[in-house]
Amino acid sequence: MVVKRNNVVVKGKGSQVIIFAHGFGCDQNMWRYVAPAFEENYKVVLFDHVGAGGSDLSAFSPSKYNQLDGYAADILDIATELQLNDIIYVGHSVSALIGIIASQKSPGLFKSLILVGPSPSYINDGDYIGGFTKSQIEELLESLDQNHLGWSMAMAPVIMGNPDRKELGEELTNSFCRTDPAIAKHFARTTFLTDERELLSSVDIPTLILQCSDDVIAPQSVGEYVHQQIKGSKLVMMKATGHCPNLSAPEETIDAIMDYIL
Amino acid sequence: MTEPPVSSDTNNLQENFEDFFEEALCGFIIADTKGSILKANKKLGGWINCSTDELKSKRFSDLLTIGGKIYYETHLSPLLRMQGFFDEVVLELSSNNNQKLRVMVNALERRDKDGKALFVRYTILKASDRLQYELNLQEAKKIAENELIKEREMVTLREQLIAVLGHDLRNPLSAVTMAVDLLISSGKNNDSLLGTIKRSSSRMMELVNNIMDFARTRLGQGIVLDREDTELEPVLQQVVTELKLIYPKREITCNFKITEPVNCDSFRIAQLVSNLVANAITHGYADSPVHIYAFHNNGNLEVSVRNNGGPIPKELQENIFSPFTREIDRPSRNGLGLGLYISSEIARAHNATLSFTTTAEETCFTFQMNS
Repeated sequence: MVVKRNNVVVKGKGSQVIIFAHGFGCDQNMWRYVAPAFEENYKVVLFDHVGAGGSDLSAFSPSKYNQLDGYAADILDIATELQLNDIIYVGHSVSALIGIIASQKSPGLFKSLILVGPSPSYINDGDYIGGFTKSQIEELLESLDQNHLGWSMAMAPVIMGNPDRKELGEELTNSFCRTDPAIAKHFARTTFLTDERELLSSVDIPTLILQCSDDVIAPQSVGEYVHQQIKGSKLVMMKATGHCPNLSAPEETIDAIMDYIL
Repeated sequence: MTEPPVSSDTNNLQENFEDFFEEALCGFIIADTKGSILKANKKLGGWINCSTDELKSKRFSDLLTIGGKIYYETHLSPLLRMQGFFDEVVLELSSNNNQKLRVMVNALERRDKDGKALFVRYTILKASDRLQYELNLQEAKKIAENELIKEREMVTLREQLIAVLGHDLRNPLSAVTMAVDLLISSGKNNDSLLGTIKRSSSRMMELVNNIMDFARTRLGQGIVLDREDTELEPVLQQVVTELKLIYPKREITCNFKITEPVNCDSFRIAQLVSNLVANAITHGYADSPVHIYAFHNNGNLEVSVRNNGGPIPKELQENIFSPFTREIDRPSRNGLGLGLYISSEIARAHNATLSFTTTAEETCFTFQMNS
C-alpha cells in the first residue's frame, strides 16, 4: 500500500540503500540522469511524493501535508515497508528538509544526508537571506490563489501532442512531472512557508550540501547558512546553475555524491 | 520601439531576416543552456520597456513575476531539460516599470546529434485578451455549474412532489370510493359517510388546486388576481363553515369587523384563510381552539389566525414560505408543503404581507394589506 501510495521503485544490484527524493514541481523523473549511475553498486530507491507523478492522489490529505512532517512520515513508511536501514538519503530542494525531519523522527535510520539545493526558510529575516522578501512570497501565494499562472495547468496537456520525439517512449512522454494542480498549489504553500532553521543545528549525521551557482530558489547564502548550522557538514559549490543540477549537470552531481559516499 | 525601422532599401525588407527577427509579431529569445539570454528581439524589449542590450545581462526567469519565476525554476526548467521543449505555457512578464504582461511561451532546447543541449529558443506571444477570454469562460462555466446544481435540486423536489401527491391523493380517493360503494349497497342516506366524501373530495380539490397554482407561479405567471370590491365577512364565514364541516370536532372562533367593501380577489383571500386555518388545525394541539380575527380600518385589512401547537421548529422557520417546506419528523401531517407558499404568493399578488410569530403559547399568522 505504501509502495503504491508513493509509487516506490527499487532498482540496482547493491545492498547499501540510497534513496532519491524529488523536490517541489516534479517527480522521481527528476533523478533520471543521476540514479542510474548508482544502480551497479547500490540499492536505489525512488518514489513520488503524494500528489506528484504516479502517486496515489486519493491518499492526499490537506491536514497531513500542511507541514513537511506529513511528507517525512511517508519516507519513514517507505523505510519500514521495505525494511530499509543505514540509508544514504539524497533529497532535492524541499525534500532536503523533509529528509532532515525524517532523520530526526527516526534516529539511526539514516547513515548520511545529501542535500541538493536545500533551504530551511525562503523568506529573508534579519541577517538571514532566504532569497525572497515576505511580500514576494505573498505575491507568490496570491498568484497561486488567483491561479492566473500556469500552476493550474496539469503537465500532461503540455506534454501531449508531441508525436515526433520518439526517443522518449510513449509511457514516459506522459509521465514527466505530472502534478495534480490542486495538490501542487497546496505543496507550494507548505514549501514556501516552511521555516525549519532551528532544526539544522540538531543534525548529527554526516551531511553533504550541494549548492548551485545562480539558484534563485535556494541562493548561495542559504547553502552557506545550512553548512554553518550543521556541524561537520561539507559544502560543495557546483558549477551547475539553476535549481536542478540533477537535470542540468547530472555528471557533476553524480561525481559530487560518489565522492562523498565512497 | 514600435516604429518600423527605416531602411534605405525598403524593397528588400521582406527578404531581410534581421528585420524579421527584430520586428516579428512575437517576442524571440535565444538563451544559453544555463538560461542566460544571448539575444532577444526588439519586439520583446518594447513590451517590457527594456533595451535588447539590457536583456542580454539577464536570465530568462529574471523577466518573470515572482510566481512565474518559481514556477519556471521548479517546473518548466526541469521539463525543458527532460523533454526538450514546452508549449503554450502561461507566464507573466514583469516590465522595467513593474507592469505585468501576460504571455504564452513556447520553448525548445536545441540539441546536437548526440543529444547535448546547445541553446534554448523561446517564442513569446501576448495573451492578455485570450487569457481574459479564458477567465470569462471559466466564470461562465462556474455559473452554469451552479445553475445545474440548483436545477438538479429542483428536479429532486419535483420528483418528491409527485410521490407525495400520488400518496396523498390515493387515501382520500379510496375513502370516497369506499364511501360511495357503501352508500350504494346500503341504499339510504348516511350523513357521516357524506361528510367523509365531502372532506375527502375537498382535500383532493385543495391538492389539485395547489399543484396548479404552484405550476402557474413557477411558469412565471404568478397568481393572477380578479379584484373587485367585496363584502369580505360573508366570504370568511363561508370558509369557516366549510372547515367546520370538515373538522366537526375542532373549535373555531371568529372575530370579524369589516364594515366596508374590500378591494381584493375574494376567492384567493378565501383560499389563503382556508390554508391558514387548515394548517392551524393540522399542526395545532387537538384541544387548542383556532381563533380567526379580521379587521378593516381606513382601508387597511388585517386577518390573523392564531392557535397553539407548540413553537415552529427553528430550522423550518427560515424557509417556511418556500415550496415543499414540510416537517420532516411528521411528514404524514404535512401534505405537499405548498399551502404557505401559495398563501404568500396570494399575499404578494395583493401587494400585501404574510408574516408569523411563534412561541410555546401561540402561533399566529397575519395577513396585512394596506390600501
